[in-house]
Amino acid sequence: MGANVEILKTQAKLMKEYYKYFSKYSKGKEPDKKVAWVTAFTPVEILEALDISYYYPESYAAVIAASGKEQDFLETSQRDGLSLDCCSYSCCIQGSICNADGPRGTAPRPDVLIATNNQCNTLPNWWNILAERYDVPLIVLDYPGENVPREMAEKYVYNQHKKLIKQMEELSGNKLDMAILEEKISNSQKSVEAWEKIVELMPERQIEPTLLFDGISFLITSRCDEKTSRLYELLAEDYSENYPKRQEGKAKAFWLGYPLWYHENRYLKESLDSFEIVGSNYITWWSLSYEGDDVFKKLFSAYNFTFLNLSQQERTKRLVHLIEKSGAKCAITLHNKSCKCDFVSASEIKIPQAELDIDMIDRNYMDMDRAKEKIGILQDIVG
Amino acid sequence: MKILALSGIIPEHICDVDRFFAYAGDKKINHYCGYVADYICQVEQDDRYDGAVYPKSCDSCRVISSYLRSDDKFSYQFPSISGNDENAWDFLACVLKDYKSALENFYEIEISVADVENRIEIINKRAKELEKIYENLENISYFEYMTMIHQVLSLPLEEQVGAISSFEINDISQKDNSVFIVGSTLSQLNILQQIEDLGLNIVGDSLPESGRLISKEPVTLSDDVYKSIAKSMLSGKKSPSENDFHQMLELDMEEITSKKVVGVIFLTQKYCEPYNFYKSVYKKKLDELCIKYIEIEQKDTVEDIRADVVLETFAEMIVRN
Ligand code: SF4
Ligand code: SF4
Repeated sequence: MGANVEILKTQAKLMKEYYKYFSKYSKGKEPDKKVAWVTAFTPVEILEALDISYYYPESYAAVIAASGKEQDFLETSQRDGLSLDCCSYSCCIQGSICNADGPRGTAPRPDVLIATNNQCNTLPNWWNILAERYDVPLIVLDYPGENVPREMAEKYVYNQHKKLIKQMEELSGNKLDMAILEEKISNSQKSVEAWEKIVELMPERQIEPTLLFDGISFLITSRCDEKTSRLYELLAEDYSENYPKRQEGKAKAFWLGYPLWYHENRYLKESLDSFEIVGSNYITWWSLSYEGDDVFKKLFSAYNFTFLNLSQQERTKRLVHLIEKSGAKCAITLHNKSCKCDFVSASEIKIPQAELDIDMIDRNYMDMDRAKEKIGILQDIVG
Repeated sequence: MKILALSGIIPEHICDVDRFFAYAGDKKINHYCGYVADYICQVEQDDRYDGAVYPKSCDSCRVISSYLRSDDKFSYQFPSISGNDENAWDFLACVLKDYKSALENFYEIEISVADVENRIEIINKRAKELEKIYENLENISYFEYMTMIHQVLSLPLEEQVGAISSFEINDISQKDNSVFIVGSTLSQLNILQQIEDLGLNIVGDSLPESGRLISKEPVTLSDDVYKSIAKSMLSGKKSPSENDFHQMLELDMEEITSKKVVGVIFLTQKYCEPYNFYKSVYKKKLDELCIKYIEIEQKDTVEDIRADVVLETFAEMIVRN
């Protein structure tokens, strides 16, 4: 099988597996496993090892926006009592649930809701209203990040993970096999390593950010699946063999913030003619580092130190490093109305920037004229 | 040592902290609640304060440490704790010890267990005193009650219990039209006077400085004093940022129905996502119980909330029924 065919087949297979029980494809068939709705940085390796299906409402909100349906859903959610000041991921999904609609229908009904606070506090709040709606157990996992000494955080998280395992064993009726958990973590590690090869290629090859913004979805939804690392290995090979090297000429810019999910290119391609995007921090958010000599240490290090759970100093350090590595001389910096936690991430970045007020879901939020003006000023600065 | 604390989640058992109520700050941070923006301003600009302690319990609080980066002032952020079990108590106990050490290091002081136990006794007594008044809320002016609370909480802890009894709170003649208040810390008390002037009787609340404060179980002294404090802190009515809407709804609905409340007033800050999420389910519960609901949103802590028209309409609906 040629590499391209294998890439397409693997992507299709992963997608099919993920969406199999969404209402548009399930033909009324109920999932054969217990279902959890999880946030983007949930230790899903535990769920995988216990054979529990899981779905990511945040990711689905991105799919909804990409399909152009978000405005209807935002309106519905407002009518249903949710303020549009809340993160648009939550509003978009609320609308989709109320309308029982979405580009792939709706996700299967949850048996349990699991939220983590390692990226924001919006998610656990949002999961609370889902718990009221579906009347199912809600589990909130706290990850203290860098706020307290590491040892203290590690013990707290370890006990929560232990408890989660017990609760999920009860829910699924399965007993956790540690060897399987090890294997799932190892798969995730391999997915991260393979993905990193793609990320490394971005500064040197003419790879559109669109490819990476869309490509990362497998690292989010299927990181413990062994097919994911294979897919990324193949993509990395394809990009390094078939994508030309970047030329001198255009100003090298870093995309600092979320993809614009509603945009067909996920970034402002049409307004960035004289720039080339050579890096992005969003595409590194799921490069979790599963460090440690046992499964619990690995899960702790992966999920406690996610980008949005780091101190400002550490975030700045990481961003500076990423920007330097990319060779970017300026940045398109996005202030996301939905995400207070990311709003300040770039506040200490010193390269010239066009700072744009955006929302990653709501296409009507950005003032495009103002954005173009700022991009124009940046262009004048970096020449 | 003068520390400004944000929110009711911050413990008073270790040392005196001033609870933040309001400040005319010039810092406006897009999409952040004005309460946090004004808090940051006061810590930065008000020279009386040499320290800040705040939680990581909502998205606005979460990033406070990104703004407060001066080494000259003490700064401590409490992690967010959603559970209420042995693990959560043990963790919070460790955090409390860490907080104490941080205070001792920064201020070059020593805080003994006896100091902490002494404070616990006062906090327990204060809760009892306040609870007595709270139980009689339907007969007294809520505006005066809250004025007393705000003044008392601004005093050093050791003066607080004595101060409570020195306040005189007037009885009210209006006993019908019972309403209940929900929200984050109240920065402007004049809204309460407006509510009472319209003939509504505030009979309960779940505000951090009142209903939630007195709902905490007293700290029972034990070998591990920090764990005892932790247990107490995680007990009682929670804030929506502590992630147990279910418990909060149950407790509030119980109080609302037992006090025959006919209307609920939600007092919130613009861009406060915990309350934005919470109110969406709260309102549905009230609709099921046919209880009227109104929301008054403040854009910062000093805005003079003139909600006359909405409140008048709300009061009319209630009085008419
Ligand atoms: S966009 Fe930000 S606020 Fe919204 S769910 Fe993601 S991390 Fe949380
Ligand atoms: S008012 Fe809301 S947003 Fe502001 S600090 Fe309190 S909980 Fe957070």
